[in-house]
Amino acid sequence: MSLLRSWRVKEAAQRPVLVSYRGKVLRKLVRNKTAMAGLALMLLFLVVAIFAQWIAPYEPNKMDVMNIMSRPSWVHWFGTDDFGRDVFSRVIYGSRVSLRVGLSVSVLSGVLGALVGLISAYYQWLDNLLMRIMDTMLSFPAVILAIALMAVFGPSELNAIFALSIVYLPRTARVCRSQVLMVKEENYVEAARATGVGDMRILTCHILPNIMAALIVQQTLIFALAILVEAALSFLGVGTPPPTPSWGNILNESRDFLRIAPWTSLASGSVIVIVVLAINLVGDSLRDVLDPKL
Amino acid sequence: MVMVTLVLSFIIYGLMDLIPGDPVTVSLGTRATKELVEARREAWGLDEPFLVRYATWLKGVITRADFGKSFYLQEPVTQIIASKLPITLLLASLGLLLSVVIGIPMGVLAAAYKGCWIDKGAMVFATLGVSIPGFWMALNFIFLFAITLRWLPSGGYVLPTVSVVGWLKSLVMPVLAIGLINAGATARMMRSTLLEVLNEMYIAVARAKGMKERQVLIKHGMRNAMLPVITIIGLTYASLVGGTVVIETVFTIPGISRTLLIAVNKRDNILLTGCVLLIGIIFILINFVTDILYATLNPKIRYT
Repeated sequence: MSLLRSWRVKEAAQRPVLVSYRGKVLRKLVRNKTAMAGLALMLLFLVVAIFAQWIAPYEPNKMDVMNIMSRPSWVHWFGTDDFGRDVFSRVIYGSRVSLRVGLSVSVLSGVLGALVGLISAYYQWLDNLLMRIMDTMLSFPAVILAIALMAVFGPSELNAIFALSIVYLPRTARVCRSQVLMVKEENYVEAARATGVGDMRILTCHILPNIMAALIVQQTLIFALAILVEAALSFLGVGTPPPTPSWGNILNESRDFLRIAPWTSLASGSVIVIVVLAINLVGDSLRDVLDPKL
Repeated sequence: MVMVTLVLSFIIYGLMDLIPGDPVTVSLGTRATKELVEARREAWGLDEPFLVRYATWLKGVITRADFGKSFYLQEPVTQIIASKLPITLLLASLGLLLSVVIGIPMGVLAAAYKGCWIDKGAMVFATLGVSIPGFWMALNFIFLFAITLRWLPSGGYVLPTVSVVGWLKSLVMPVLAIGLINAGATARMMRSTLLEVLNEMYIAVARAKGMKERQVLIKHGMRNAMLPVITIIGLTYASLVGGTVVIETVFTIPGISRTLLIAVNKRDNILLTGCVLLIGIIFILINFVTDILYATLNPKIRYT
């Protein structure tokens, strides 16, 4: 008995520890300090955005005519703007717009882009047409395409999400297509086809899971880009319309009194940088972890 | 190419036609009489059905390179764009040049000293570059150089024919903002491409011959790494112009951005169509030329 048990213990010790691919990636990610720092910052901003009404000390649009453009103080952490509105509260509420737009765009353009990429890589006869369209869209400067689309849709947060999703769709589609072209030559795809699995099932169950890594990395970077471009659109006055505070239109309003109250611009701008930086750090680390070749 | 452009023109014209609002009501105000609105609508050819309008417009574009007349500015679209777009392209090109001048050496140094503080510093710079909005950088420059130090004008554009010094002064901040923002991405690209090249066999051969590391890096490494980098830089020119449009607004430079925003705000769809289509065509051409250049420079690539 005891001999058998000791043999079993010995065997268990010698057996290689089986860790799933997902487990390995997660472990690497947790050990990566920059990734964790970025993730922590992202979570912090997410919490701030969700609980904005409890965190913000003032109503974002409450005007205080006695305190116009007052310096940062304990009462108004980031000072007040030309209407006497508390900049700290406005920046907190602004995070809602930015994160909502960024997140929605990265999901929507991811889903649509993946669809286009899958179809064009899998069905060769559609490839030429679809990729030609994507190339044409890609050759436009993103901001100009976004401005033109916003003109058609009209300025609002929801329309900004649609416009930016269209603008960023081709990038995802390209990445997705090149990945599918690689994966579909793999043995397991061929084996699946040989056993009579249908196209739909091959695409969703065999190919899609294997291109997810590249897709997630790409969409993280688009998350960051979308926040930047949404801010640019609002800054130009074609994105989120005021008085809803968004980081872009706070910056736009701050331009007029940059000389007197530079803190408004400083606060909203630095917040954009911090969030986008955090997302980029997570994206870069994810890429390192998921694909050492890149 | 021609086919793509034609389809593109139809899509853009159709899309811009969907813009809610009406250039006639915008130009006449809401209190105009019905007859006046109808007369103007007829004069501008807006009473025709969509396909007829598109055909007339396309005929003008093809036969006379005439993109129509702006409703709001009452000037030919081609003329407006011809006077505004060069300023935008000049800014973007100078910005691109600056980003290359900063980015390439930085990328080479980072690759040469991989893992060392130079590398880490360059990569921090690169990550910051992709995370800072260009227009905010521009605002900070205005605060620093124009408001606090009073070295440069806070905005505006001086024609070189009026004053060369004034012209240069008005260019410094926008070009600096565009260049610095994009230098990071260039450095990162240079670094990764060079690192890849340095893994090649011929680099090992060069080192084995006893060549100096500096020569290996510049003669064998950089030469081979430059080609893909140049191509990618060419392809990112479009996004750079997008950024320039926003930065122009900050410095109130009369480039294409103001025209675009007028077109959007005044529902001037003929102007917007012209701007978007022309910019699209320009970039399709640029990408085409980059592709051909790449193929001619690199004998390994042949398009069949």
